Amino acid sequence: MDPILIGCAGIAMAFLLLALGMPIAFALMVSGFTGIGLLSGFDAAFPVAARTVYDQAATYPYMVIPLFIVMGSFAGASGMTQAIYRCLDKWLRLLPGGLAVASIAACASFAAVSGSSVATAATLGNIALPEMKRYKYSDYLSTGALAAGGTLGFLIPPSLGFVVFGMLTEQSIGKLLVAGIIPGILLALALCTVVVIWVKLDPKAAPQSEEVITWKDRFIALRGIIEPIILFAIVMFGIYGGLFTPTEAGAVGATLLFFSVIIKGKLTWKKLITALQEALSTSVMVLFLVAGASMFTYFLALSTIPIQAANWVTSLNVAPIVILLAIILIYLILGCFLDSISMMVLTLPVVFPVMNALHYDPVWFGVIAVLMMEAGLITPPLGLNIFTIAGVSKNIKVETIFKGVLPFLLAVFIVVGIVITFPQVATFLPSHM
Amino acid sequence: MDDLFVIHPFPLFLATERQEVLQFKLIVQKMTRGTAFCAMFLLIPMMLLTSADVSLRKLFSVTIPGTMELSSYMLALFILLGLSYTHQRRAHVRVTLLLNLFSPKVKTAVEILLHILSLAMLIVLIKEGWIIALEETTVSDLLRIPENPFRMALVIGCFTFALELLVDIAEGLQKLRGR
Repeated sequence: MDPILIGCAGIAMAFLLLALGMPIAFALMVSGFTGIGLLSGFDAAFPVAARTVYDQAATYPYMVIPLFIVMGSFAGASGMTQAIYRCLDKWLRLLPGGLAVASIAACASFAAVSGSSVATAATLGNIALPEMKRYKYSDYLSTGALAAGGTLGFLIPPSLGFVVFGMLTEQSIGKLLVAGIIPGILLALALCTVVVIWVKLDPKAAPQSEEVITWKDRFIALRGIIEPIILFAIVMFGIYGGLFTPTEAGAVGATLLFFSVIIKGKLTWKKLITALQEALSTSVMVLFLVAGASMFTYFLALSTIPIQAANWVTSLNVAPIVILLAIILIYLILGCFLDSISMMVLTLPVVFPVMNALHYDPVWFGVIAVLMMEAGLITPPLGLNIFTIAGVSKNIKVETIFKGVLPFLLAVFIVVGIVITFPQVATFLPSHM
Repeated sequence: MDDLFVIHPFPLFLATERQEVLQFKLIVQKMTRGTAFCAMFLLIPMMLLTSADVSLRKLFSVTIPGTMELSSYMLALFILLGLSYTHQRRAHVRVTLLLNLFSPKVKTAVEILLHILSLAMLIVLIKEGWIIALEETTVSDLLRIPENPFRMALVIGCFTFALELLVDIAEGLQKLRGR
């Protein structure tokens, strides 16, 4: 039978199983395994399946995933988040919607020591939401700002998004992480700007606080952000300066936080177990997905579909930017139904060869892809961060959060536009590594 | 004796069947939590070993031999022994948008079918994992640690995962039969 036909049938099978609700890793494994069996014989497919799963689980650089996650958990347990929030609140409260601006800035700071967007949204949600409620901020603004701010965890390094992108495309994870710094700062600023404009247009959304904060208080509060800044500097300058690999940086960052929590006397048995359980289940989820994707990619390579797709796209008489915009549109639509890592796993085996054939910079495309995955975290009906904030807030409707997050979604698109127009925003730092 | 006077909501043999599934579920859950408990604590030595290695290398130009291979082996155990726990926490990502549109009965039937397919995939992994682990003669580069015990983690991880799926299938079938 024609390999392309089998390839198309395999893709259809994967999507059918996925739509029916099969775990995505299994949907990819089952269709990949069947496809390899049909194309190369089941004698070849059996060992490929077992070897792929073991090999993915035993790849040393992938240790960065549990380390980045546990870093975030230890940072949360150390009380660092409260200190960051208190500091930024004191410095930014004078701005219109100051508490919401401080929440986004705190999300950005926490993202600098955590690899997970959900952890960022949940941790800051627990601290900032009650505070914004106390000052009678509108639910739309407070929840929208936190759900959108949480997405920064996926972009600002250490970021799980770039790690998975690097794993799937065999690009340097270090370069990808460094490439996320400037767009991450830009996005944080864009989200803060949305808050300011929102409150300027509707001052009732965020009543101005009457509380007087002295300069002395502000400077004292600065102590709260020293620890995350030092950690971020060690991790990122270590990677940027070639001192460590991302895995080593993750280990150093996690170890420093681990001892910091112990020294502060804040590491209880329960907190340790929760941190390890979180790291375990997220890492297994990601690596099992990647194992499924590897099997599926192997099958697609046998079917020659990625090469044919790349050839077809390059033979089209359209500008590469049109293809890029089409891919962004596809990501936007997929983001409504899939979580970010699944989206990467499902699309990159075909999309990445196409981008390569169009001679786009892989690191630059990685930043755009991660930004679009971020948008997927806050788009209805399956925005993961929306449900995280809904879970934290308990009595605020999901619809309210979805409405509240819409203006922030616009900020993500503006940053995507800036990165497309000025690729240096993403490529400048990694080009100097 | 007292049991004779109890009015059972279901016939006795059905209640017994349900209890058996429940007991099986409790045993499987304990196994899963046990393997996960062992697996998750491996993260601490992985973290400390790598940090110690990189710190010693940068500060004193000394390395801990075999850091990478030990970490890789520990990572394999960490991930593979955590497979069933991740399932127990329902953390393997899935899209249930379409599934939620079905009636509860159809939904359960579809879920059973998907569990059977997943189980078949796990059986493939257990069988092949077993063969590969037995045939594997590779040892690590520096410390000469044999690889096959770690390859066996795939078999154990997939086996406990398969047991979890069997519990789900049994519960699904009970639900379908209205019990």
